[in-house]
Amino acid sequence: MKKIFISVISLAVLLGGCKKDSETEPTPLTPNSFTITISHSVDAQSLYFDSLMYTNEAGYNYSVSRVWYYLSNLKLIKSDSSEIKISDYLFVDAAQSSTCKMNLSSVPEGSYIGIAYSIGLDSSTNQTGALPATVENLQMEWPVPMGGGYHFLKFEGSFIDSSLSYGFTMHIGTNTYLVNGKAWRNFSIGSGNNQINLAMNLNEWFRNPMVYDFDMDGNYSMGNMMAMDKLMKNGADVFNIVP
Amino acid sequence: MLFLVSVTGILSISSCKKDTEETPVPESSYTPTPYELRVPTGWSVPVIPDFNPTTVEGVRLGRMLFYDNILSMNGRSCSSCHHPDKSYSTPVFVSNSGESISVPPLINLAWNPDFEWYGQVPKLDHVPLGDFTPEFFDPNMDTIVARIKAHPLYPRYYYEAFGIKDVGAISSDELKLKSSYAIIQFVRTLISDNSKFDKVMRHETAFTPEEMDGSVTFYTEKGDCFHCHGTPLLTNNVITNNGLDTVFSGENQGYYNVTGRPTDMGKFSAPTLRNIELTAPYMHDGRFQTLEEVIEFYNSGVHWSSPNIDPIMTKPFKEYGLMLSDQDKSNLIAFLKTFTDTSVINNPEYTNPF
Repeated sequence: MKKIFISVISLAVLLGGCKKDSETEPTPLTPNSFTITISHSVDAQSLYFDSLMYTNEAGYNYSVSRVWYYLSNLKLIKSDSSEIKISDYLFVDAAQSSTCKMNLSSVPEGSYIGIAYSIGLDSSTNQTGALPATVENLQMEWPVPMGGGYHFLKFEGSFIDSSLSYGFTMHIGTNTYLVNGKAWRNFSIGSGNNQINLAMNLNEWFRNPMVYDFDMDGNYSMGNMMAMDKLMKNGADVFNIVP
Repeated sequence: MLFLVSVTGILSISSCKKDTEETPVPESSYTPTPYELRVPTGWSVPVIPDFNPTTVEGVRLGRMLFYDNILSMNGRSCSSCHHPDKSYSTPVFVSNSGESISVPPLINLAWNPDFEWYGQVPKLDHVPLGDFTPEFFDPNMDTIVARIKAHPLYPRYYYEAFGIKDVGAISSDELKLKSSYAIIQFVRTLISDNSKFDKVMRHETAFTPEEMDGSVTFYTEKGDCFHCHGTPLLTNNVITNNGLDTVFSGENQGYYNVTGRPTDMGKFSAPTLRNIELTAPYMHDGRFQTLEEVIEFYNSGVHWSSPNIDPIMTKPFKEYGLMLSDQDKSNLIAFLKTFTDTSVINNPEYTNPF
């Protein structure tokens, strides 16, 4: 009985597809499962928290104590540069693997050349209380006296400067500093299970197009528009696609 | 002491009387009624484990046990150290090893992910198990079982909450566990959401100009309290080092005592600021007697060189502290006092049932 039901649905989908084909542009939309896993590294090194083992572009040794962010507006990029939106938002805590995975069920089959993403939330969502009151969303709130909404990114740790240890807190928020980026790689989505890995290289926050220097640019981005602007621009290539 | 003896005497007499009037454990089936925990608007879903669902009967039993000294040999009950008028806390507990420990308040714990000052108890339901020790209840389980069995109400209450027909027929560990579960079911109902702060959030009233100014200090980089004490719970539940010390030993080692990781040295759970006016002294060891002292610590006393200090605490241009004026400080304290919620203290559903 279940099989018959599925067949009927499939037939309806196919018929619907045929009808649309003749009327508008081709849209061969066959739902396929697509799992995106998210990993974090610092150049070639794996991410270990609270360990002063990394070096950024400006030459500071640093450790990482927290990486929290919203990954949103994921879009598949086709070879003709058109984009298909496949997700709204995901809260990611790099220390919690359960948050580093997105399971999508209705992703159109086809060949793609990359994925576009935002780190943060678009303006319609970036309003205090717009997201469900989950523990993580409440923890990401951007206080109302400073404009409301949510933190887009909390990237924190410590670094060494002239033999002394200092903290750094790279926080981004407010609509102006929504990070929009793209990651490039040819991949295809077919029937069955599909999976890719989005790999964030934390060092990319500190370089390309601009070197971020804790001493010169500030080790505390909150309330520092120049710092948040730099981080936003550097964030455009923090992800790579790993098949 | 005399008073306690007298009370016990009265209870004994009344228990004898009641024993003859009612059957301790009825033959009715064990069907506890689910207790719907109230979730204030804008709060997240509370954390209730499947192994200890909240029930009307469990909360009733837990409330009695919370205020009763029946589980101890030394006259203590939970309420001996968790006074309702102090937001279910007590000023300071001195451990057997002589260290002072500030007793955390028992409010809104259904929303907490970890417990005690350095997160050493991962499940709230197991926290009361730590009281069945010589240091706290000094229990003799044979005596406790006999007391419960002889009580006019407890046998029926244990049955209706957990299906236990005879507390003497289960192991003492099981009895401790189920007693803990009941106490925590009651504790989960202690919800504080009716302070002036809450009423302002609900647009039922307004802050004074001083409180409003204090809230701006709290919620902006000026005072930067919100990174650790945000959300409606007024804690982000972070376990972190706020720069109190540079050298650590004993309890002061904090989360390190749980994980053994050097990077967790000196880290403690950021507590809720709800009812902070009622829970002096402050910090995990109660080192600060007043809110003024606490504010002055954050204003000028943070030890920047403390290992593993939270990055939030080491802002550039703040080397000399937050540079708050006397007016800023008093306004901030005025704001902190808007977190005081007397309704959670006086709620008749929470008070001593005896």
